[in-house]
Amino acid sequence: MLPPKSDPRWAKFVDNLASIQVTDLSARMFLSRLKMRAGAGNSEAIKRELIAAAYDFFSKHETTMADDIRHIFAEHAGGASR
Amino acid sequence: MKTVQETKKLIRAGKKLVIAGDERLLAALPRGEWVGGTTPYFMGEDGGVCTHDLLHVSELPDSVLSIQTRFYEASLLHRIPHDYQVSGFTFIVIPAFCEAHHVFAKDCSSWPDVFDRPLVGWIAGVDLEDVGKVTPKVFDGVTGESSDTKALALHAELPEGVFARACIVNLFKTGQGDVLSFPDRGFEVTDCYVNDFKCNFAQYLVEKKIDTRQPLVANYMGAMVNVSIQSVDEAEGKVILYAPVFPSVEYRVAAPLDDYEAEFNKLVEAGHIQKPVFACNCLLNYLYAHLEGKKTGHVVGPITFGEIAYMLLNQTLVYLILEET
Repeated sequence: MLPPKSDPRWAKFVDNLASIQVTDLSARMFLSRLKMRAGAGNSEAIKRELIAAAYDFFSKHETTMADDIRHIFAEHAGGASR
Repeated sequence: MKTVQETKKLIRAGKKLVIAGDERLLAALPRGEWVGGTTPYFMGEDGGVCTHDLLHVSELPDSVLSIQTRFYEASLLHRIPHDYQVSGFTFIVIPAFCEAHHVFAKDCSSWPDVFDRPLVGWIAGVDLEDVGKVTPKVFDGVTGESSDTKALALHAELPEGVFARACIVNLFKTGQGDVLSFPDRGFEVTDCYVNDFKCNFAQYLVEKKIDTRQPLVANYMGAMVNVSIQSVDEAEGKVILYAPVFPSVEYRVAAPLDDYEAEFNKLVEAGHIQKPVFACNCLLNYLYAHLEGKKTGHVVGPITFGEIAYMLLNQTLVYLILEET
């Protein structure tokens, strides 16, 4: 299940964006776009924007990307590698 | 591969179809629930083939509840995600060389919600002998219209419990050479950075004796995305690409690929490629890997001037599968 946006795992997710591994093609391309956006700076405003975008994306794919979501927010709390 | 007569029967039977073939054949088809794009190159049941006399027909499964087709001018392409079905997938076919082709390639990955549904398709082409003489075209079987300037989308609706997944097979891997990056987005490149040192890209390719049949490869979080090289003009210091490069993305020249057919069939035999609803492969793979007469496992479909899986890809096989939750 997708954690709420206030969950601290989302901040770790953004901090570890470059090392996150997913299997779905759309997730890979979406996260690449986020990574490029993250390259624009690491202000709190950008982090909030990235969390909002990622939450929106994964909430739309909660069923079809269940494995990827579970892995991202599992014990490593973001940045998990396979 | 099917004849025009066989294809007409499927259309008249009310099948939902994605059709690829010669313009003359597509123009001869009756109206019905289909979209099409031109190409004479195919991955056929008997191997790679160039023919102006047969069509490739991808029949959408009965689980597809409905389809809606729509043309998009270049300036309206960004609206494609707005028209996605609540549950479903979208095919897109774009005539090569037109403004819509270039706008899609440069902008699509930045459109809001573009990744929300599987978006797959191809860039329609023509026989290489006809480039510059005949324009690639797309056909909307629902309305009977065709275009050589607009993209055509087929938005397919799926029932609850069935979902589509867009997949790619890219046999190219990043080589061990220099890290390349580009200051500007585009198909036409002059400047680049080689390990952060600015230089002229054409000069770099010539001096390093790069085999331009190997694409540039970028790693998109595990998805290898190719950009193929069309031409190098050393005198003008200009390189033309088959897909745009983007700033903030690191590229490397791909490692050489010895035997495309053998490597591809290894993946098929290992069960890594399920039976697709639709598949397409790149004309450059057909040409450089000499795929004429060679089989790509059970995977059949058009050979194209560019493949689309959310974004424009080169030298990549794109396919779509349906799964049940």
